[in-house]
Amino acid sequence: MPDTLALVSQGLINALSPVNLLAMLLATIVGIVIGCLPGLSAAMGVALLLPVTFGMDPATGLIVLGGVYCGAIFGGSISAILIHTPGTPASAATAIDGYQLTLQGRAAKAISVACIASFCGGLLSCLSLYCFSPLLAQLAMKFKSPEYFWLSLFGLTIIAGVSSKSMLKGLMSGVLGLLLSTVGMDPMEGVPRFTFDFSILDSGINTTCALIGLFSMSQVLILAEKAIVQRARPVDFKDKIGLSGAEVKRLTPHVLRSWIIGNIVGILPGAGASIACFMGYNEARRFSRHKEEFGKGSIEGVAGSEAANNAVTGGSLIPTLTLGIPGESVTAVLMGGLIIHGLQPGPELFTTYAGMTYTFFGGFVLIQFCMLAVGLAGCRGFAQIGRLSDAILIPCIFLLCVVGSYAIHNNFEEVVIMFCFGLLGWLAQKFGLNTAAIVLGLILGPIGEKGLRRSLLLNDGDPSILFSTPLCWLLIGLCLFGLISPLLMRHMEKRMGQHNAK
Amino acid sequence: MEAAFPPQPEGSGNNADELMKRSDLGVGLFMYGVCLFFYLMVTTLPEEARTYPLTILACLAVLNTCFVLREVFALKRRGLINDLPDIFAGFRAGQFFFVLLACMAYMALLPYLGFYVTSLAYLVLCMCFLRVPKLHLLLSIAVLAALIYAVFTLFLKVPLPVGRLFA
Repeated sequence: MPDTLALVSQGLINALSPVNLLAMLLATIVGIVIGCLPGLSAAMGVALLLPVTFGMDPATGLIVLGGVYCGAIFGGSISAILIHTPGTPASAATAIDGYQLTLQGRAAKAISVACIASFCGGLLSCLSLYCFSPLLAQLAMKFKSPEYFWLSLFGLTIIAGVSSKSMLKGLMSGVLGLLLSTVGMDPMEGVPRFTFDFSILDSGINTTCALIGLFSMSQVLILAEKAIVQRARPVDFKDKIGLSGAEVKRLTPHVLRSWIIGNIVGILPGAGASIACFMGYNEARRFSRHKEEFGKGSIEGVAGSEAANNAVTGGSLIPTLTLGIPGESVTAVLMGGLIIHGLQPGPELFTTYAGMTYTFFGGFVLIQFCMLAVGLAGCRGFAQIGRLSDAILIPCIFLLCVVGSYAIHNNFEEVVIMFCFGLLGWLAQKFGLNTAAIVLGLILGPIGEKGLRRSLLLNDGDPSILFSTPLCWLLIGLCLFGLISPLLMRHMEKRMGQHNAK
Repeated sequence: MEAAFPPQPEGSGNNADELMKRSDLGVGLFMYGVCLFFYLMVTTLPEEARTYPLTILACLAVLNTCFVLREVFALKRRGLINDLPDIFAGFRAGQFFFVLLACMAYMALLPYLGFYVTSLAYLVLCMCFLRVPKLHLLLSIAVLAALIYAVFTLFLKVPLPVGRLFA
């Protein structure tokens, strides 16, 4: 315990270094800008900024990615409140009451509530991150090759099953990712597989290129296929930013409830901020003493939704960092960032690299303060940036994709790989395949392959080793849960839909 | 406004979801194509390196067959729906293919003309086509050039390609 406390305090001190503070401030601003722009997602922002973190210390790099993540989730609420268009799906529920408040001339109040609720949700989610991550990491210490095989399968089944409309399509996407992960040298035999004599493919498909392609380049194509529309001018708000004591008292229970909801949703792989915001909103309405205000401009609705979606951020990092199972596409990209810096998610992050991990955690806490300050001070400016036309964004994002993928190894062939993944991502989104599952297949593929083949090698090819420990059976049970959970999620969504319709 | 509620999942009782979709037919064929392509590639690998990719391929083929069978049952029960107009609703073919071709041309010219020249030409061409006002165009190019120079050249020290013509 004293060791952990020392690590926590040391991490906070490290995170307070001028470089880290500057990095988190800039990253939060970039994240809020990306979040403000309807059509751009948090995953896209994080993928685009991955190459920028190459030259940084791993902790600073992760703080940058965390800043973009949190900033983008909050940023989505600004356009949701001011122009009735959620910047990200995570703010869809905020738009319901946020825009009504804007129409009543209380836009500043709505943004204040969104900002403060986001801050509280994010900050409280850090508590879970500090408390649960080391515990889960201790469990992961017991994992050997067979468990790693099942773990990668579990990650794949749950994200493929939960985050797609069609479970079969989700699973096929995951297996497609696994297939693509076999490109490169065979880890046991040292034979090149599917490399087409391109030396760049010998080490496999570069994850960063794939991430930039699947999440950023595909977005260029998605924006390019639609008519360029002039976004609505945001309402010029003149009311005061801030909350009264009575309002704080009224919102506190909703924020606390949404924190718990967001955290649980975040920890569950496959469920993300877009689900949490509706759950937070619905629970706020259920427990509110002013139910009649919901749908007509309720600050409780805004707080419920925003606290929940930001509470997801810390929660979703727990399985990502400890088990290597990202809960959603943004954390899959973040995990890619971790791997690029030479760090493997798992118990080592809490032993060998504990200093780096706790600095990131400290940074994650400070990011919430940055988000609060920047969000409250700059909401008027961000509202204007949110109007940036897609006609400008399309070529600019493409150039950033090119330069980002080129910067990895100063290699032009990786730009072509990025572009191919962009096309794949665009087609996948058009035809209902799951890009997050493809990425996860790519990331987890090598881990699963090594786990499986090492296990078989150790047991002279006998597969019974894969069923030899209680942990294996626990993970097999979780895999089955991963396959059943879509039915539960659908039931929940259906009930929520009916509840909202009422 | 954007969807205020999460989209209804498949099989939630909506009749359109129980029909066979034309797009899903394409997905099934695409996946079989992928399986066939990789299978042909696997046969060129040495014996000992084949097992793992073949296992993955078998999984993909089985899942895809289940998917296709489900669609065939849907076809028999309810019929076929052409969902392609929905998927491509509002699709601006001219704009999309112009941007796509411009991106491909950019990548083809990049090794010869270098990063800054190609990027300038690409930005001007694309933004003019997308009817960006001149002032916005100039501002965007200036901001982007400054950003890329500061981050990639000064901070990351990435030697951006100068182009064979100028080398």
